[in-house]
This record gives sequence, C-alpha cells and structure tokens, in this order.
Amino acid sequence: MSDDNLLPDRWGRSTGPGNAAFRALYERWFRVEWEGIEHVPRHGGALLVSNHAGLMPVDGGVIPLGIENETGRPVYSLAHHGFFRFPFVGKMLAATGGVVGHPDNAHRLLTEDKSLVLVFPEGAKGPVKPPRERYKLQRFGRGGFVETALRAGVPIVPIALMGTEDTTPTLATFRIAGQDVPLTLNTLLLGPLLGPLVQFPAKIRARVLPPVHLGEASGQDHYPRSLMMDTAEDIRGQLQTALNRMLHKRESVVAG
Amino acid sequence: MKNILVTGAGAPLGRAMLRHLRNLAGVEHIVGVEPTTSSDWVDGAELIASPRDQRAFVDLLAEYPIDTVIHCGLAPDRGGRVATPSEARVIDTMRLGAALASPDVSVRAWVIASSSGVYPVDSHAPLLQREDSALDTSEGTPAASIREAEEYARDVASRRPHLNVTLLRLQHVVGPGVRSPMTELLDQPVLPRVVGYDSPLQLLALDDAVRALSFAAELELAGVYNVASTGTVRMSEAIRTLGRTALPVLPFEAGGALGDLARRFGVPHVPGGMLPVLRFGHALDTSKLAAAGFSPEHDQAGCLALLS
Repeated sequence: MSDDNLLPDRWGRSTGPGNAAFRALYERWFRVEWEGIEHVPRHGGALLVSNHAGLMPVDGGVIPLGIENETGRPVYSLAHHGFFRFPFVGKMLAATGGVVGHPDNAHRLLTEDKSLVLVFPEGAKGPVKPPRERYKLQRFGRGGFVETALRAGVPIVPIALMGTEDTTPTLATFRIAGQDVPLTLNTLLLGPLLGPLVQFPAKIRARVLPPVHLGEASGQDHYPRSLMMDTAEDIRGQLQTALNRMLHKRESVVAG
Repeated sequence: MKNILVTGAGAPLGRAMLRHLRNLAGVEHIVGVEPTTSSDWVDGAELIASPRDQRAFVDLLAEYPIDTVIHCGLAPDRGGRVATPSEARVIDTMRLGAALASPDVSVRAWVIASSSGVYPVDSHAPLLQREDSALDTSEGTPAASIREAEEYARDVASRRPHLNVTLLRLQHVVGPGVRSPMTELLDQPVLPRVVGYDSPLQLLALDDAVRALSFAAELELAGVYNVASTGTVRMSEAIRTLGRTALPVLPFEAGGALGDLARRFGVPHVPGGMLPVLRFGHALDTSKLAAAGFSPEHDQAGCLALLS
C-alpha cells in the first residue's frame, strides 16, 4: 500500500490526516477520546470551530483524523496561506486536508463540495498566548467564520478540545521583533531544535457541542455585523463553558 | 455579426479567429488588422496594417460598416501570465476604444481577449479565481498593463451604452503556433518538476479560446468572463500525461538571458514568470461563461495533446 498512488482531489487532498505515524500518535500517545460525535452532521456542509493551542498545534490533525475515524467524512482545515509558501510543507498540508484560508475556498468547500470545514477562529493568537491564558479562548477575530457559515447556509459545530494545551505547555511568552514567542516546557527541556517537535503525552478529549443553526437566508451580500459578532461571542462562550466543565472533571493531565 | 474586424490578426489567436469566422454562417466581411503588416489576404480575410490614428480607425470601422470587433490584439497569443504587451498594442487598444466612441461608427459588440494574468498568482489567492475576485494590484507589471487596458474598455462601455463590451479573461492558451512562458515550460523534452510543490494549472485550447470569443460576440454578452478548457491539471499529472521524463529542480526560474541560455542548450528550466504559477497554482472558475451557455470542447488532457 502506498499513499503516493492516491490522486489528489482539486484541493490537493490525497492521504488525509491518517498516515501511520500520526495515527499511532493519535491512538497511543494522546489516546484521543470523543464525546457528542452524533452532533457532527452525517451529510451536507458544516463549519467546525474549535480552540487552537500548542506551539506545533496538533489540534489541526487530531480533529480531522478523529472525525474521519468516527463518521467516515473527510474534513478540510483552513490554514494560513503563509504555510503554503514553503516547499513540501504546503504540499503535505494540502495532502492531509489543509486549504488556504480564503473565504472563497471555504464557501466552495461548504456549498459545492458540501464538506466539513474546520477553522480555528482564534488564529495564531491561540498558540502564542501567555501561560496565564491557559484554556482561555482568545478573541474570535471579527466573526468572519460566522459570515462564512451564513453565506453558505450551513450550521456551525463547536468542538471543545482538552489536553492540547498540555502537549506543549507554555511557561512564558517573550516579545521578539514585534512577535509573541512562547517558551514551552518542551523547548526548555529538549532544546530549541528538538523541543518544538516533541509533544508530551497529555490525554486529549474532544467534545462536540450541538450544531448552531443560523436562522438567516444564505447567499446574501451583507449580513448585520452585530449578528456576526453576537454569534461569534455566543459560540466562544459555549466552547469556554464546555472546556471549563471538562477541566473540572479531569483528574490528571496524562490519564485525563 | 455580419462585418467583423479582428485585431492581432497576425498572431496565432487572431489567425485562428479569422479561420473560424470564415466558416460561420451569416458573416459577410472579415477584416484583420495587425500593428505591422503589409496588406494581404489571409484565409479568405483581408489583412491590413492597423490604422495610424483614430480618424483612420473610424474610417475603417465606418467603411463596411463593421458591427463587431473582436480584439485579439491586446495579448495576442497568450492568456495566462503574459509578457508585457508591447506599447503599440496597448495604444492600439486605446485608439480602437476612442474610435468606437465616435458617432460615425455603428459597432454593436466589442469583444476583448484579455488575460487571466490580471489575477494575483500567490499563496493568498483562492483555488479558483472568479470574475469578481481581487485583481493583482502590482504596478509596472504585465498584470498592470492588462488591468489598465481592461479599465479603459470599461470606460468606453460606460460612455457608450449601446456598445456591448465583453472582456474574456483567457487562461494560458495552447495550440498551433502559440508561444508563451507556459508553452515554453511544457514544450521541453525533459520537464522540470519543482521539488516540494505540485499545484493546479489550467490551460485553454486555442480553438476553445476562439469559440468563446465568437460565442461572446454572437450573443453580445456584456461584462467580464473567465475562459479555460475543462478542469485543472497538476504538473505531476502533466508530466505523466505527456509521457516525458522529469528532472527535479529547485524553486528558481530562468528568465531573460539565463532563460535564453537554458533554451539554447536544452536545459530543463522554469521560464521567467512561471515559478509562482508552479508554486501556488493558477486556475479560473469558469461557471459564469458556462451559465451563459458555453462549454469548452477540450479538457486539460486534450490541451496537453496539442503540445506533443
């Protein structure tokens, strides 16, 4: 069996996230467990939103692999276009389901392909936040993801992910050349080369919340800004509440 | 569509256009113009040098009188990432536009072969460009020249409400006689495969381009339309389909003198301007023209067959 023989679809997706190494990491290292998977629509487009964490964020792989395992549906993840500039990185990202985070791409995936699309509304603010912000969701941009869902007429499915903050725990953040650079425990223990590549075996739990159906007609030119902001805030609140509950129930970082 | 003027008639696209029109029912006169040419009859059409000034253009258009102008003279044999259109060609477009605004002229349809090079080719671009997608905003580039010519055409359209102006943004044209950075890339005996990238490309068969221009003229479609043959193709697929060997190359392009050298010695290379296309892909959403009723006859494999 060779994944290289799979023809990529128009987005460049061929293997999906489930290569053998990542599958082992998912099953043995992070021992990912899902709750509420029945909330993931079995057909039709849906926008999945989740909290984003970790210096080398594993959530971007954990959620698509998990949903593909549990439902058989492929997940496309919106990623910053900058990643696609690097040789091999962009190609690999596309092969595993990454797509340039352009509203037009998201719309096409949701409406023409009727796919599941994953987005992290916190963007880069999630992974580089200071340690006191652990498991606190950062600002959800300007609510652009809500507009994407409204225009496409698809539900938003929030997914709370616990454990991803502990695979690369941030000890402190430094401001270097205008960028927030986190120092993680991994980097401190293993050095700047190996550190960012190694993840601690924290137990990852994912909880899918009930889909949010937006009661507006799709395909309009404009949607009220207030509606977008309110919905974004509401979803952020739901995710935060779910995370708090999951953390409250957690007995240990490694055993979950 | 009875009396038709075709510009850029000396280049492959214009020539193919003349041949296509000759076989069309209801067409009476076809005149081809080219910036530098001596008068001639080509494929049953009269070929003359572009008029030197606006007045002469008006006289030419009023003579038959011309009712349809198919402007292949802007980026005559390309589409896609173009070399800077020569000053003469941009000025010809403006002269033609000015002549079309004259009250003595009874042209009803002006169909312009523009280029998909107006769209940015970069990591932040969407997978498929739509007619209303953001354009390349760079200055002093080929994209900027095409953008200016398009703006000028839109200007003419707004001043002459009875004139139907259609802009067809042609994707990389391939076909007999067509030479462009894209054909230079794909025509090499050993193809370069840029390591670490494999993005979707898109070609347009010369006859599909000609049919689309003719379709737009006949239906007097107004506005902007993307044109490409069906589907997209990745470089890896193109290499397989063409059945040629590939040489992995680092992401560098050979433009200018370096490109000439590489061509002369047959060294597999990425022609100038084509590296971003190979890294980030370049593909159009053609659903708008499809909704108007046009369907291309070729797919990407068919386009590649025109090369080999």
